[in-house]
Amino acid sequence: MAKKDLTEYSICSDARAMIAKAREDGVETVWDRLTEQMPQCGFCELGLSCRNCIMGPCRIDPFGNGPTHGVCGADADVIVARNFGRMVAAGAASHSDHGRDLVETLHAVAEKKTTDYAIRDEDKLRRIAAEVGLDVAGKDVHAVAAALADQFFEDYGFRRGSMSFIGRVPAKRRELWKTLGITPRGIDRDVVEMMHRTHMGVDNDAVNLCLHAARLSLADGWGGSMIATELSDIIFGTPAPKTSKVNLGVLKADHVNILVHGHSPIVSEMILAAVRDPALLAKAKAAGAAGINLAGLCCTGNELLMRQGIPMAGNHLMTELAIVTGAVEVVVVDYQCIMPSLVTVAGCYHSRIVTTSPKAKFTGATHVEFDVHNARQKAIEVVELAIERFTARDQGRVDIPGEPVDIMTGFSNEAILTALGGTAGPLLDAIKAGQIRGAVAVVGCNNPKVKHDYQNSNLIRECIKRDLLVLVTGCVTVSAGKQGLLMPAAADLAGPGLSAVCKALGIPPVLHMGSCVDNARIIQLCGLLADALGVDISDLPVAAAAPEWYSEKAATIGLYAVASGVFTVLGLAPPILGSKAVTELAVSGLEGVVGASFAVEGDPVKAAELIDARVRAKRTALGLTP
Amino acid sequence: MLKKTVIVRPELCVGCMQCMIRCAEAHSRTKALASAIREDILAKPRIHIGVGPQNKPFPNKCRHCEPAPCQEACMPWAIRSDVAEGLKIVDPARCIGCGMCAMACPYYVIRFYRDTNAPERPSVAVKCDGCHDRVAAGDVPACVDACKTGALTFEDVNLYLKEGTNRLAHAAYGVRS
Amino acid sequence: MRYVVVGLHAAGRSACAWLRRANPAAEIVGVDPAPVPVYSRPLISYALAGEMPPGAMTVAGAAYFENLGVTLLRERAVALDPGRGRLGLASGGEVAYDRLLVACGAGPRPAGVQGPLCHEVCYFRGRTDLARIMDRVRPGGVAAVLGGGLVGFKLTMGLLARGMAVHLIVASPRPLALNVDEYVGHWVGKRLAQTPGVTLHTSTSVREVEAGAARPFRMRLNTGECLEVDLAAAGKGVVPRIHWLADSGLPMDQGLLADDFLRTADERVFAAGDVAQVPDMVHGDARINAVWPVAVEQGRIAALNMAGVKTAYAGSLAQNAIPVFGSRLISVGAVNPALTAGAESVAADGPRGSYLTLVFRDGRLIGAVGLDAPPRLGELAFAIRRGLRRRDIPDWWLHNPKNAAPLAAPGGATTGNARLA
Repeated sequence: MAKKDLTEYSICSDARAMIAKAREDGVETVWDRLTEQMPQCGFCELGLSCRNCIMGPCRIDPFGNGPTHGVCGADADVIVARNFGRMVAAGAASHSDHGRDLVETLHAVAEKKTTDYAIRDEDKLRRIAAEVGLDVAGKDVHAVAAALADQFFEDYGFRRGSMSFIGRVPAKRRELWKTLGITPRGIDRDVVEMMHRTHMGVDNDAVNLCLHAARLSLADGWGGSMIATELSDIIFGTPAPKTSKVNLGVLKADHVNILVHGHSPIVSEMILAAVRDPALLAKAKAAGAAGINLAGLCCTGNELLMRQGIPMAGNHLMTELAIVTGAVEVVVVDYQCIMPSLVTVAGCYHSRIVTTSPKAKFTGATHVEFDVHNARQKAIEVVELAIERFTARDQGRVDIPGEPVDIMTGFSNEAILTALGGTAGPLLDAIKAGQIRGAVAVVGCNNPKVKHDYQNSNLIRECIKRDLLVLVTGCVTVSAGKQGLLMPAAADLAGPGLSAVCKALGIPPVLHMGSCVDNARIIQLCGLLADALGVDISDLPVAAAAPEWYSEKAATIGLYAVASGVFTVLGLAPPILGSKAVTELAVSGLEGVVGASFAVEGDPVKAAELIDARVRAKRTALGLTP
Repeated sequence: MLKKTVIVRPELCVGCMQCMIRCAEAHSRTKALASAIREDILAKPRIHIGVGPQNKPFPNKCRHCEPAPCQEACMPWAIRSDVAEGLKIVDPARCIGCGMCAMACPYYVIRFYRDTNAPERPSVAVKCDGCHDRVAAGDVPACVDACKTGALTFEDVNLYLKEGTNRLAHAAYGVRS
Repeated sequence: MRYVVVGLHAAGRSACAWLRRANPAAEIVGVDPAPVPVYSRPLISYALAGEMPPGAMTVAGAAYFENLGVTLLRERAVALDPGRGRLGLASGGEVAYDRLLVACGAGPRPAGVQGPLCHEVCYFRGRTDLARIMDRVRPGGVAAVLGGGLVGFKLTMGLLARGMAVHLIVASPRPLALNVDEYVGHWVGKRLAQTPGVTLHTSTSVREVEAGAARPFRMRLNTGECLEVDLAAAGKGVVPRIHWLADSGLPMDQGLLADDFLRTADERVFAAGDVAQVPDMVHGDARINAVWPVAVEQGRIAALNMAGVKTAYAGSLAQNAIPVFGSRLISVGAVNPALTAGAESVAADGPRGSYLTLVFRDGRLIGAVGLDAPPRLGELAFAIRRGLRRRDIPDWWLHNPKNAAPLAAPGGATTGNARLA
């Protein structure tokens, strides 16, 4: 079938170069498979198919000719709501399981059952413990860790029935949730209840299902994700500003190249430690390499970047292409967002995919199972495998396109407050004065259905032009970074107000705040700002956008943003259009319920205009200049 | 010049009905699913998945017969041969919805709906038009595009028949032992 | 080679088109007193009901025959001499032919009424009839419709749509007695009784028409009753126009008799359309099925045979689709088991509010009638043609006529399928 011109796939020259190389090398990519799938199932696109039971599978005809109800009697609204509910459940479950592993690690540290992991930010440990109401005065670090782990174990259960971090939510918002009955109760509980509700013959009211979906997403955002973020800081260190580099140019032809992919720093930090091991460096040199080069992909790459300044090779659509350079020895992964095609792509070269989690095996990959006791040792095994692979590399097939781009990273809330002098005061002043009119979180993934990085990076450009401070996480980090938007020099592309503030503080107009679980940092920041102003989050001149999202996790994040009061623009439509009721609720009805709603708009300029309109309205309502 | 037509291999049909939803989409005003389903007069599919014995699915569409019984039965001469070569296409502006064409069609491929191209008429005959505008633009019919299993393909009918002959030959010479 | 086609309506036009396709070089002469405008007669029902402007009845432009290369003789045929191969025209002239098609159709059967104004009864065959009726239509007035068959119904529905009160006068005990089965006949009768503006008179006929007092015409009924009306129209069947063939020597009955190749007793003379009495597929005898699609098909088959392409005619099949009281009534073949010896009927399930019955004789399908049924009577007509047996119509079809795969599909019912592979 006819292939598109390279420029249609991506705005990035490294991507285009590797897509061309993949064609030459005969490697099938995500774009090839998308083409094969086209056109995709219209019923599923609209959310109108249901496979929940074997009285089905059922579909509703949106053209009014065929069936209007599933075999059980569910109509379009119920089917769409059930499907969406399960999407949100899957997303929440993923983030929350990530958080769970960190709770278990903290617990292992507390019980002194591991020497591989330790508490790197004891201050934060104590601060969080105090915040959630634990009495830790005079207790030693292990005792505090044990207490905090127990506290968070309970967040996952249903005995306590509330989230530890609920105090970070402004009172008005908490009241609203209480009235609506959507205060999150328990991380696992709310996920399980959604699976229950969506079984045939349980919840058959679309609105009721959507409200629970909102609650469930909040149990992720203020629960599982937030726990993951805070515990990662405690165990691995709280990020502080630093510089690094991004794009495929971070690979080094004369080094052993190892890429970390997946999510949890539990694995990637161990790999980093092994990569710095002098004995392994020596082995690498003996094998003919100049050194061992570690770079990241996607979220776990974000984690190492934020804390350790490790460079990033690429985002979601770059993961196959990184291997296509022919320069990657090993991609070591844990879970989430790892395409199973990587095993096949690796098989076209000397590369290996190494899986580490019993939860995430890939047929054809090499499995090296990590746990809290063996992590360092296993990490060493992985690096040794990479060194061995280096000797099998065909240098003739290596092509690392271009030079890496500089980026600034490390903007945890702690770092932001430090940069502002210790309080959010200066930021609030800038917002009141209108120099920074508002803030926009541009987050999420890539999707081969839209041109790679085009919507992500251009929305960011449009926002900063409008004096809107942009916060990025996840794959958007790489989109922004490759375009130079994560450097202070990018202030030149911002509007006059934002530009001035950034230059004064020496920060970029686009702040990297972390991985996708670190979207919890952003909603925490919203909570802080709202409390400082004495308003609800829905009163703030803020918005969120996921311009190129693909995953269920992104749907959950979008929903917890909206349920927390943040207007969210999605670059692609979620599979809900088959129900007029659910669609209406999402794009307008929710405004009256939670004070925020969704919009679907891919075009960066139009999306920016929607966001700008929102900011103007909120600023006016606060008595500020629009 | 190869004259292609839609070939149906019912044994490959899995009843997913993608052909139906994409056919309706292709005959809507906006030709995009998300907006097509919100149009005032909803488009309808021209291909139908019938249900056979043991609920086996069967893709059923107009064969564009020559001579066409529907065309012969049409009193206002609303079924045209002059729109696209080899295709029998209903002109909704001329159709009076009398149903004689469906009375004549041996294959049950004509249905009656309100059509967006003749909104003033309560119902007109709706049947496959060979996606002639798509084909003229170098594309394939929407149903063929949608079909993942190869139950619907767009091929030179003579080559298809040749393939059938070859299969028969193999079957005839197949040795049972 | 000269082909002469007498009558240029449904059958004649179809024949001209196919003669031209079969023989690009031959001379084709069309004989018809009014060949243009090229219009479809059955559309007069729609024009009467106000659903179509009269101009829309025209289906092709004046150049239609020119484009086909048909020479038009705007004449009436008055005599046929098969021995000499000559057609006699009203003007006195003659046309020689190599092959001739008699497709001059049928005229309305006379209403059989007496009285000083009996000639004021209108018929309903073509444009001139339509114009005559439209002249007399008075919204708010009263009309009498004679005949409880399909034309009578179309007249009734049309005049109601024009705002007239209608007396439907039916000689049989039930309207549509010949066209539908008992269930549908009963349904129609009930709806008629419930429709304001319609008065149904069954087992009644009109004796005389004379001048009225309050309205132009007074109808005396055989019951003794009198009706004053503004308009009287009759649909009492059709009579093939064969009187001009009386001296031709060709065997005739009600119509001009023709065989399985639509050839008359003379090998150079063929018949098609409402004038032709040809084998009926279902009844086993030679009948006239005066329906549009039958005429068009016969025109094609006759033309092919005239052009030397031997094409068997499978036999005619009655088929009808008419809107009645907002529902769609359709029938094909022999639909009234009571009228056909040895027939039995089988009902199909269907969406609520639909009715579909199949009629069998000696185990073979001979007809079907439906009311708001899924539009698959054509498929059943094809099944009748194939002599489909009761056992070949599977239960899964009868249980789900809305969605069932077509009976006609080759291999449809018998091929293997990916899902069971």
